[in-house]
Amino acid sequence: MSDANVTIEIQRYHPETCPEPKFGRFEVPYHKEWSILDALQYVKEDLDGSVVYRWSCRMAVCGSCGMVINGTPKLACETFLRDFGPGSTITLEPLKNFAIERDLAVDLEDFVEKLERVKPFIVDAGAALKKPKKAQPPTTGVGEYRQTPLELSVFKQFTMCINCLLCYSACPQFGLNPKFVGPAALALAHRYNADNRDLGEEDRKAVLNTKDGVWSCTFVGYCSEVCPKHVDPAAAIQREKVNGMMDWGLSKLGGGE
Amino acid sequence: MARQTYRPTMPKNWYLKNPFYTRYMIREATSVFVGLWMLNLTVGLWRLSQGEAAWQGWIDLQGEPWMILFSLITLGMAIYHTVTWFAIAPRAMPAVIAGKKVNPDLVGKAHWAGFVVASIVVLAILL
Ligand code: SF4
Ligand code: FES
Repeated sequence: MSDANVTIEIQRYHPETCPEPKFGRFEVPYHKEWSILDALQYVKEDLDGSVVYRWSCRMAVCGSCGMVINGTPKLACETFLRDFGPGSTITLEPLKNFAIERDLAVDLEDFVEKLERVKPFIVDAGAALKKPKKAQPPTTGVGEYRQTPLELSVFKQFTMCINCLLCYSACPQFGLNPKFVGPAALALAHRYNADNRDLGEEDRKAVLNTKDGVWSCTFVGYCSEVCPKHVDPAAAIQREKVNGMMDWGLSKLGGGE
Repeated sequence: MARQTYRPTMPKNWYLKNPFYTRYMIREATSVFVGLWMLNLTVGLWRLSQGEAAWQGWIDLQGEPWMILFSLITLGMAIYHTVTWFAIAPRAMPAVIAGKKVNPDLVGKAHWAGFVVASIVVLAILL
């Protein structure tokens, strides 16, 4: 029953035992309802307990299981053996453009630091370091704060990000310039800038409107292609470029600050 | 002790590793051809300022087979750039303009409408 198997090739890296990445091959029984994550669980339990990968929710909400599957960044829990068929060979590599910790686990520290820098939360007038251009909207202290469906629609899609980092793996500009703040962090910055309750836009400019901010992006657009949540980070970045340009134009006209 | 990680390097030919990247690189490369052709046009204007003989020389140059080939390639490149750019440009639009939600499909169509109008104007001047 040779066709009732699939071959899983996993890129292995262990600083102590395997300091140069190389592929390990594993034969896994084919079940059409198995995800790649299920296949990895099988490998870890029955074949080699030293294989390292991250996962948690196994239902495409936690964003832990991002990896490069047959060359394309995907979530392992959302990709199935049936997508490849019995007898196929499936290669698993860690997300590209990141430092590898072990096997399929990459170092996320740099991303978390970037995420913190864009202030991914609602900044109110009291917390804003630079004087906001918008007037302070009513706070919860005044009572219920209403937001119209139109106001919500401006940023809703950008709230769907699960920080899976497939977009960073897809971005050649991030690969060429590791300082680039990158798709997900910039999309989240845009999510708050576009929220009418937020007053942090002036503060975020220091991170966004720079060479390593939105201007590192050349609209390759592959980030939006691989995003499992249809966040369209490329669109968010272009909109922030438009904002940055308007700002620059206004400052030249003496209208801005 | 610091954690020991492995940092892979990006291959020099990364844009050949994925058809999506290759299409992007072609879009970027179109600007080289369009730029060269604009240079050609600028030379033409300069020759025009030098009198009829110079201008005729430039016109004759445009008829050379290699020049026609170059113009055809540039035309193809410009069309490729237009099509691929109009397909993604609507996504760069602000979500709301003047209190109205922007429909990306409509923005794409508006790009093409602008293209048609501009082409008609240019052709009307030429013919
Ligand atoms: S923008 Fe999409 S691909 Fe990027 S981290 Fe968020 S969910 Fe993942
Ligand atoms: S395990 Fe949570 S997204 Fe795949």
